[in-house]
Amino acid sequence: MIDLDKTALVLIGFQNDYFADSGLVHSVIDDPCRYTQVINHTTTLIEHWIGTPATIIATPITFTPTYEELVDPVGILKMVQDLNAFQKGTPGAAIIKELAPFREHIVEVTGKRGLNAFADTELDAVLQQKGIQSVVLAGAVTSICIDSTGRSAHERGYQVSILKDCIISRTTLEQEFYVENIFPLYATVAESSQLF
Amino acid sequence: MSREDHSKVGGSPQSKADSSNELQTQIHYRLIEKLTESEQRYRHLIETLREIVFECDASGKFTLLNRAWTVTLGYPIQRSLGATPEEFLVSEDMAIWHQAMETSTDVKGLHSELRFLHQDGKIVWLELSLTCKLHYGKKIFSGSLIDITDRKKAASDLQSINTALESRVQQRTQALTQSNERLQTALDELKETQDQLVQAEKMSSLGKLVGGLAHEINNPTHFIHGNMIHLERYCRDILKVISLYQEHYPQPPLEIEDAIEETELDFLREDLPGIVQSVQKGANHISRIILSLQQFSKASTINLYPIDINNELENALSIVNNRFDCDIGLAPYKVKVVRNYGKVPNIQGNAHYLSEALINILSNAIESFENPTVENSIIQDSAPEDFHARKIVIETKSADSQWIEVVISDNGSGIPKKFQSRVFDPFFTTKPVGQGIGMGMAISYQIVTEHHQGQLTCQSEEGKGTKFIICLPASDVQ
Repeated sequence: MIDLDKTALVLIGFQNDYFADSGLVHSVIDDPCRYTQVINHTTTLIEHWIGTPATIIATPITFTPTYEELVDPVGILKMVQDLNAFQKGTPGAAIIKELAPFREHIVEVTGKRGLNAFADTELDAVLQQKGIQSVVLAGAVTSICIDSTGRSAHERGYQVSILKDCIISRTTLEQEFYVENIFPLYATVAESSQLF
Repeated sequence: MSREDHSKVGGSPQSKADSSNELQTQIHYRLIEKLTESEQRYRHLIETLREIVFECDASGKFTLLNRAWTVTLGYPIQRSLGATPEEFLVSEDMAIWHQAMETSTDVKGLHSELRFLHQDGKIVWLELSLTCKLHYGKKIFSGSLIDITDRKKAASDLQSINTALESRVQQRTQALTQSNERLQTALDELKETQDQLVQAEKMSSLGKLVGGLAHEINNPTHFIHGNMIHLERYCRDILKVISLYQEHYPQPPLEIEDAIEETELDFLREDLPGIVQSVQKGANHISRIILSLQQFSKASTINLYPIDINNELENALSIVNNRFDCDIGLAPYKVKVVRNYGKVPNIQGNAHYLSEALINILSNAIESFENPTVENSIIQDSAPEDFHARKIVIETKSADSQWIEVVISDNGSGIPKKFQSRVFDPFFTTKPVGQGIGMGMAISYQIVTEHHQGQLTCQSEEGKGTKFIICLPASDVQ
């Protein structure tokens, strides 16, 4: 049984450049329907958790104009750099509108400029302050920010849960590979409905 | 935050760990990108194949299917994954699939032809290639299914075409055989006609020769024949005078006595009547031969008139009637005559000539029972008085509207094969010298073919009997 007092839902990358139709890297996902599914599952979980002691944190990513955080990027990361996506202050970097109704319930931790939500941010401090022992991850992209943040949380001693129906990746292969083979190495893989 | 700020934050151990984490993530991401590219490349290849590519787990359930599955059989992939191939096979071929799963190995692939049911119900022939490998101790089956329905149909069509072709060849062969048979029949008929023509020509030439010869021999023969009466009488008178002389002069002069002894008068007086009689007999035989030769050489135009062939047969039979109760040979015997006369139209013929021809043929039939060397097996063991053992069957019938047929058959000794082609040749006979001159059948042939424009053929089998077939043109006047 999950202890919501000590649990935080960490939302990663719920920003327009991924999720909005006009997002700069929106098209990198093989199956765009997955965006809607992820949003629906995530917002449903949030709705259930509003009014509970659980903490909900958003960690939007913004890159520096030179994208120095990325080393010889490939795939989505290269596209992010090439298209100047997630640059601070742009509409693409803004949190998606579907989370707007819950804004007052979401703690926004800014400063994420790389793949790991803990790096260069106050996330760890916020979690510590709230006495959080367990983090639940949702968002984009599975093989990058979710994995990086998940491992970092694990290294920091948090119990990590990853919601497989609330994360999105470029391909099915990637999604299945991480959900089935990587995440279980350090996290509990669950579906959002298991946390209602 | 500026780069300097970022560096500052990254200076702590945690910051270093975070940087390492980020780098690690990018390394992982590169790996997954490459893996994804590779997977997508091969997936694209598999998805664009026309052949179905599949994988089954140890329980035989599909775990992978490419798009060709749906294209070929109509079933959606998502609904097919987790199902077993048996669910799509026609029941008769399930055993083949099971056998394939049991016998396939990684080393030796297995190939079979299976019938699957398309979603719309039609049967689709698929050629299966199946291999099996162990993955962490569990069997995994993978392989391909190639649509060979068209090939099967083509093979079936080819088989049908072959069958039809064979049938046509057979029909054509049959037609050719029939045509060949007709040609052979025509050729046989032609050869028969040729033989008849040759025979007729031979007869004609021979007739002229024989006619001239008979004429030349006839005069001296008449001279001999006419003087033989006088010669016989003169001899008799001379012998009578000699007898009287010896009676009245029992002691003749020595010179006469020496002459009597030298000439062996007693023997001469005793032998002379016999010699004269023998010469007389020979002369008579020469006369009969000349008569036959003259008859054979007579002109082919004779007087023809409508006659009833059945009547002529009866006339001929009445002449040879006494020969049906024979006492020639080792034991007397009887010959039965069976008459199967049909209702036949009159023919244009000459009763005298026809009668002679029929008598010759009937005589030949009778004589076939007299051959002591060759005997019909049917009659060989019969008693001489068995009336039914030896028989001559005479049949008359209308061959068609223009011809009548007379068949005279016997179950006598038959004619040896080597003689059959010479039956109608003049002077051919198997009788001992002096018992026949071999003109009977030649004259009969001449009468039928030349005088009556008919046909005379002979069919014989040694030891079983002989059949003479006379075809004569029906008369216009009934």
